[in-house]
Amino acid sequence: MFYAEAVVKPLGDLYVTVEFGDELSLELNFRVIALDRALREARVAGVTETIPTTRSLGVVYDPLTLSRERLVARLRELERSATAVRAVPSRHVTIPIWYDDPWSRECAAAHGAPNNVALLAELNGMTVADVIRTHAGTDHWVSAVGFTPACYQALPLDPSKALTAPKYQRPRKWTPERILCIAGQLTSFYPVASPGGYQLLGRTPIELYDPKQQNPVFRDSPVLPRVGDRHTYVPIDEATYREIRREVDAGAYRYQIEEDTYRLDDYLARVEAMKRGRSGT
Amino acid sequence: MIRVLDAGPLPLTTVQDLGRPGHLRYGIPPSGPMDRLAFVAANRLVGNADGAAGLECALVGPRLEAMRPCAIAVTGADMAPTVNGERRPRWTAIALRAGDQVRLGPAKAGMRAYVAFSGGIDVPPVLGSRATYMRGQLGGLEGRALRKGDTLRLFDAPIPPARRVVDPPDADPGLEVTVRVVLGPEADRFTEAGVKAFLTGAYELLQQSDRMGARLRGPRIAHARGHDIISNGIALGTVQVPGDGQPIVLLVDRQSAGGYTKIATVCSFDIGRLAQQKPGRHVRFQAVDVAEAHRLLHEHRAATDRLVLETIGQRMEKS
Repeated sequence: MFYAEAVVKPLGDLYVTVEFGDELSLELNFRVIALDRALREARVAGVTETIPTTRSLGVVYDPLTLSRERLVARLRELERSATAVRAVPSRHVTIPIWYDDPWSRECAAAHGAPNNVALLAELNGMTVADVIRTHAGTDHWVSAVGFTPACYQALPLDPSKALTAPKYQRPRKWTPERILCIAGQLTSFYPVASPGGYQLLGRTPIELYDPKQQNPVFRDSPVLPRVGDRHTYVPIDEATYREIRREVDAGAYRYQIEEDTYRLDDYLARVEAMKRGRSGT
Repeated sequence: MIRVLDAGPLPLTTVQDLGRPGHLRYGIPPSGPMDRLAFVAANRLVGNADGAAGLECALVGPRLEAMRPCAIAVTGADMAPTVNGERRPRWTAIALRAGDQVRLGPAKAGMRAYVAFSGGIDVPPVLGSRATYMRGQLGGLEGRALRKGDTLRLFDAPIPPARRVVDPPDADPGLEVTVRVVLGPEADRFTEAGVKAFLTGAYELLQQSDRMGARLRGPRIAHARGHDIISNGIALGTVQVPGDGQPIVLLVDRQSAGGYTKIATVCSFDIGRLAQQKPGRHVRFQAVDVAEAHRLLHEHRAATDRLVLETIGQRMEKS
């Protein structure tokens, strides 16, 4: 559901959330990103931090500098101009993945779960190879970053390539680091070893979180993913995984990142095309 | 320089400053002290800026040795600090000579003690802050808790005049601590009886609580329609209620977003008192509206500012 007008709700005395709707949608995420950019550019005194998530923007403020009434009025003003934004800067990031890797297999088995990629194949009525082809066959839009540093959520940009996956019934006690995972149609990531309930897809040899900020790509932040990034996942085999991992360990890995722009209408046209394709068959 | 003679069996003492705001958008929490007022008071006592790096000790404190003269102040929980075996007052600047040994014991009242050193601890800032974020292995001493054998460099600073906080807050929040909350943003996802249970029940603070979140157990908070939401932002103090109906208050090392329903958020000025509650004791929640919360915040900030003025010109504590 899209709300007719964004809803501003308080979280205690120092935080409000601006909520645009209650569904997973690139269109809602565009509104979040647009308001985030507008608010940051406006440099409103008293706003100390903004946190974009898939369908809402968190705003941390100091009410002794900026009253709630004035903050809300300002947010309304900026929101009206922000809804018109149809294109945003979007980096294109290539991430190699060893799908159905042995660490994921071992982790699932240790928690009494079936092979997660095999389960996805069964639930989506395709082969394991198809699951990998489908998942790697579309770019994924990073709609939120957070939970832990460098954890993110990403939506498939080609809706015909959306897989569905249930969460674990009982969350796992542990997951190895650098594992790519999926629940619902959202791809996510475990940057560090942590508990979790998403189905495990595969493992990347590259770091998306570097607390020591050693590789130059981490110069500004130890976290690589940004809201509005597009990820391409490239299936790799064991030999390539190990080779890239050696480069990462030696500090010599060159991240593949391109600055670019993404237009919402490109996405909407794809959705239309898919609908037409469906009604035509 | 300060040498760590003993940091206890658990990783519970960390370097903190006022934290690293601005990185929640990358999933990096602000960290910083759980009891901000006690932390700031300790810094002011030794003549530091409010944001100088000091130590937060949870449950039990470390044993330290001063390698050169400096001043320290211990605030927050009562860990019965001693210098060379002799009891020393808390909330008071204490001059140390080279070789003096400071010991903080188990917390007799309260949960978290703060130790400020004149000059402040000199560790490299990460993203503009020296605060330790252990889960993310960031800040402080290599992103970890203190260990036996560590040394802490201090910035050069003059030994400040002796002073104390005249009327320090009580270290013991009592068997039940009441904290103020603003209801929302998903309070409508709970039944009326669920919200009532939350606002009238006493919730036991569980052992698994840490700087990320206070886990509580008490009257079940019933959901009206499911506990899963499309994940959205989480503030300091946000009370998340997963499917089991038991609340978790998210704190300074919290996740930046989450997919469980949030019934309310504890006001920033009451986080310090919650942080001093011990596991096994209880927490109660009292609803206020945003206007009232802002009035209370104003009062709380004024009280923090007054802390300084009352410390000047008090009796000298000789070591």
